[in-house]
Amino acid sequence: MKAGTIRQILLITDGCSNQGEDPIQVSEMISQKGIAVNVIGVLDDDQTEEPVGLSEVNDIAKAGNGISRIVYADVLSETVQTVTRQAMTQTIQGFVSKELKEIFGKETDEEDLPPETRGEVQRVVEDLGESVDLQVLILVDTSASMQHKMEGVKDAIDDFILSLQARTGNHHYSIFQFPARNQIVKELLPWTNDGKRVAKVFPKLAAGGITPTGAALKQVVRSFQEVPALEEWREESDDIIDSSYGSSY
Amino acid sequence: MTSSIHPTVRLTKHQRLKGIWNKRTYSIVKLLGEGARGSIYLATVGQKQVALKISQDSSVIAAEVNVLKALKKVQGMPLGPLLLDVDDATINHSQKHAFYVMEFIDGVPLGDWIQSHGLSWLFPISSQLLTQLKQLHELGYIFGDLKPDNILIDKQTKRARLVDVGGVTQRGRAIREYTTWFDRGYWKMGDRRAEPQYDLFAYAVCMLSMDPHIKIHKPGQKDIIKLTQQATNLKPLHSVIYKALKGQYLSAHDMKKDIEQVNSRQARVQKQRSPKKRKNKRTPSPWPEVIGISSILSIHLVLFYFFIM
Repeated sequence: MKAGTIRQILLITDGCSNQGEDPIQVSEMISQKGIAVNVIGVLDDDQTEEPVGLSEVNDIAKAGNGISRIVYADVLSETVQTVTRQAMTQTIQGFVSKELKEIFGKETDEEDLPPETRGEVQRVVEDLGESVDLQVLILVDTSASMQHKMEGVKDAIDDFILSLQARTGNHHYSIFQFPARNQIVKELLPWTNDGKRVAKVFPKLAAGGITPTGAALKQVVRSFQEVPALEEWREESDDIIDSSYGSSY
Repeated sequence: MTSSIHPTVRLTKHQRLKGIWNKRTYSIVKLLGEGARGSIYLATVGQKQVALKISQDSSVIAAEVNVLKALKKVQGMPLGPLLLDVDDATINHSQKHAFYVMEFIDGVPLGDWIQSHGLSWLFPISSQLLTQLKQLHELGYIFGDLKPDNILIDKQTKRARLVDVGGVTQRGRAIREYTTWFDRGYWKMGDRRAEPQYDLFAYAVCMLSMDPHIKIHKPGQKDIIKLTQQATNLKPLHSVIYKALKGQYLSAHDMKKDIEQVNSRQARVQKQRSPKKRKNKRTPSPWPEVIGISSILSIHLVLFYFFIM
């Protein structure tokens, strides 16, 4: 099995959207393009329970075929890690189980296989997870309430890049913020695989007032067409992700 | 597809689990531990005590079973717990969950053991662990999530055992699971690619954390080399710890040799010191006698004085 490319959006936010399109609808549209939308909701240290608006976090991820977590800022690093990895595994598993159904017939699910065979399937999933090319677009909510969490977000992204670099497969990441002055989203870092560039980007973050999550998601998804081409993955790309990617948004 | 699955499967005491494929029945005794990837229960099958790991996420079970099977191939000293059974069970007449069963290691975590038995135990434990790590590495695997809680000292044999294979990673790949404080990436001392040095770094931090002066679970400290200087109880091991932190040991065997050398040097120094110590003990000892005698004398003198008066 050839490794393809996995595309993900990672949205880091601390509240509900209050302007523009419905982010849940947008998220569903994005997932139909074969891009998973993962969402991390960041709680304030003094928040003892999940604020009402934050449940949107789970809904966006669910609609986007992604993973969501609601966490305190101090475990952000681990969470970014886990969410990305789980979402990636989920995508690969989805792909593998589709293949399995083609081989064994409609009713076959991974769970229906005897444990021995499941171990073999797991090995394939892991091999793919390690070698597949990964494109992660990080979209950071920089509205006023996120301001004091930015240091944590920066550390988490730094740490995340470290994990990306340990993989055998290629990776590209880009960073966007929303809202920005006079625009909904702003590109902070274009697609790159250079881990050292995160540090230079973050001082630029400035917070704004509104939270147009849906509109921001809708805008950033276009940039997946700008990922710099690597010969290897141009040729054999879209193995895992459906081929509708590439059609204009 | 579920978006945020929680791995915990709750089982109650005396609950019975019957394997769908292998038909063995397990009776739950108690919860041993709960993690991000599943729960471990103490269970019995017949008269035998076993550890049973169950998770909502069947891929967790499949992945760990693969690792345990690979480790089983090593002859001699066991690396990690022995795998006994892999199966699915229907829980509460509804959901089907994957689980696996392994040998139950009745042990004490490294931290608790050192606290009650003393730091000198670090020497034999390190030798045992580094031998196991060496074998694991030679097999092409890196332990990954090495931390004091994953090192158990078997109550019966008093030997160190590695448990929780969730982090075990094929050499050259990205570490599957790690704990912040024992991860060299967190301390900016290297990457997260699986290689022997990754485990040896983590073991050096394990040793450090045994010193009561050290609190590694403190956010904000960034310099592990500086932190080592505060571990005054581990002074003889500092050179070994530095070397491991800097990734200068290419194999677990080299680190083990150095630790054993420190140990024998320590023993020699103690031997040389011990006769002196006995002397030191003797020298002050006559003094109380002198004091005793003189005080008795003085009392007598006082009494004598009174009599004369």
